[in-house]
Amino acid sequence: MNEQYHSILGLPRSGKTTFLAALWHLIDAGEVASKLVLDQLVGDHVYLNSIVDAWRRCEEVPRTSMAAETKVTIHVHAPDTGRKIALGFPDLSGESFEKQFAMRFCTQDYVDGFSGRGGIVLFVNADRPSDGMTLTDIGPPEFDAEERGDPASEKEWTADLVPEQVRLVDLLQFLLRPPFLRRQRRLVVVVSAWDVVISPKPTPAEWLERELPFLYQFLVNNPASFIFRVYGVSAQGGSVIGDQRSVLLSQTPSRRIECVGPGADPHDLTAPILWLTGGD
Amino acid sequence: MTDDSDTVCKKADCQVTVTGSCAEGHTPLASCPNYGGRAIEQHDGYDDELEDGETGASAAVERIGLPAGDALTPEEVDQFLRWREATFVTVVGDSHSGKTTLICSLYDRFLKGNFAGLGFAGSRTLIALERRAHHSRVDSGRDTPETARTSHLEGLRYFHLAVAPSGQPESRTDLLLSDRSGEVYRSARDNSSLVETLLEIPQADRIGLLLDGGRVANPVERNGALQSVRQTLRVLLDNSALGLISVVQVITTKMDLIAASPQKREIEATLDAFYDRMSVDFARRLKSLSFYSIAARDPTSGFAPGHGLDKLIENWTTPSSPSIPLTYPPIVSHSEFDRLLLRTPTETTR
Repeated sequence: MNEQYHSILGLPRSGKTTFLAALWHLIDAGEVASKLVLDQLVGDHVYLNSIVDAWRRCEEVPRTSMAAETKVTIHVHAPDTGRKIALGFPDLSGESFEKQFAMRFCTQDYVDGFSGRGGIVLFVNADRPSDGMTLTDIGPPEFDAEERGDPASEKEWTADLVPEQVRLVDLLQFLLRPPFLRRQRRLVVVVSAWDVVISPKPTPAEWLERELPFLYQFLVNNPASFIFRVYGVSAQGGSVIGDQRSVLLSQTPSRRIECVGPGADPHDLTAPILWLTGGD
Repeated sequence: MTDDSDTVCKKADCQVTVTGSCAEGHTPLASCPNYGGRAIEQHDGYDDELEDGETGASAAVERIGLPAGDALTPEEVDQFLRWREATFVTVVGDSHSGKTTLICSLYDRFLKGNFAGLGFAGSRTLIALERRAHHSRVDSGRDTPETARTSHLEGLRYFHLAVAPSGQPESRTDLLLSDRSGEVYRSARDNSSLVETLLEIPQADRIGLLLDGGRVANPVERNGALQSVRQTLRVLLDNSALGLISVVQVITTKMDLIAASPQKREIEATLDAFYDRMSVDFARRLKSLSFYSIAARDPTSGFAPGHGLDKLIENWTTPSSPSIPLTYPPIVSHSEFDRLLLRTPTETTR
């Protein structure tokens, strides 16, 4: 059995837990063809079953709190080759990563998670507010110099004001220095909430280059450390709020899933995972 | 004496290591009951770490310290150079001449995508760059862009920015951009004995002398601004901080203010004459002397953001042409003792 633990990175609300819930349903239910299927149901699946319940009801999957952080293992096999793989995912809360960036420390478990042969799944959310805008970007101020704004509204710098793409680059840069093992890693960028990207949709890689250019440049210019692919994923299939929820509920659950990217079938979330595990 | 940057707080949500301020408001920091303990020593050269065996020691503790992301001290730069070579760019100018704005604007260009045919490849000083860029951001709550000034108490620091030509990540250039308070350069101009303390000058692959375009646009300040650049170059040359291997670039900042001046044509003529005089008087004492104009951050948006920075960074990432070979006068032996030495066969001529 080939056992690989993949690490998950992403800030709060980037879609990590929802992805895991949809993946668990997909490989368990067998409703659509996928490149990886469940091999055997062994071990503790309390956490996976709790998050997948919410996903099946088309409810917002509860975010992982720092207290609830857990490591899950899913045993799968690839029907094409018969190859058996144990996939391990630490479901870390987004707050863990925020704290790591702000406080500049991590745990030994986190370091150990990167010591194996597994890859990295990095989550970003397409449904995100713009950040990092400069005052020059929004044009000249529409007032005279004497009519300055209220100084009381000015904020001191804090780590949570740093743009998301800068924080993600720094989290990845940590992996290039001790105590992390330096080696080339496969990395999948999952752009979650892909359904909100306005048509005509760019490819997920084009979206990343356009929306998070700093992160994209960093990945492109560090091929000795990262070989990467970008996938657009709608794990819920659309908004679970309002009228659209009843539309989603009427569908076969696995068919709600949308996955766009290299080698991916429309509803198959396992394509990026198979590539991380050493597939072509 | 303890270096506070190595000290951490036991309180989980306190950001003292980043902000320098206690979450509970304790001043001084040592008075906070949660403050104390040492962070894991900041790691630098990866290969060095593996060799000296500190990795194992770091792994033994629950909290693993990660690089701080602050501006690099000269000692940290020495460690950096054990990892990879770098191109040193030293930006010299009086207070408010635009030194930090230049660096932050360059960083800001890469946040938005490739710039000047180059892409971002990494930075060890992202936290420092973000802190300096904060006052130019909408999130700062300000209504006009500003740049946090460098305090003379901070001494010499360096920002790191690694860039690579598009499609050629193997051709990466690691720029180390010096950051020092303008007051220090002013003091060195006033008292040449301080020049030898400016370690970043002889070390630099490029020296950028900033000419404050804001002062040039002001008739009252104009001549003082021009003379300060001329005098700075002279004091650095006369005290051997610069010489025949030095590449100097006079960078006129805030071109937007000159362009907006009703005396624009007169100012441009004055600048042209100034550049000519500088070339005549100093170019032969340097490897090269060139002139650039930038409008790094134009609040009125008359210029494209980062105007002129593309030419600068193109130059900084292009290897300098080989130095002019130095010629030494022939050694003339005057004393009989010297002549005896010349007549004596050595081991190599025997």
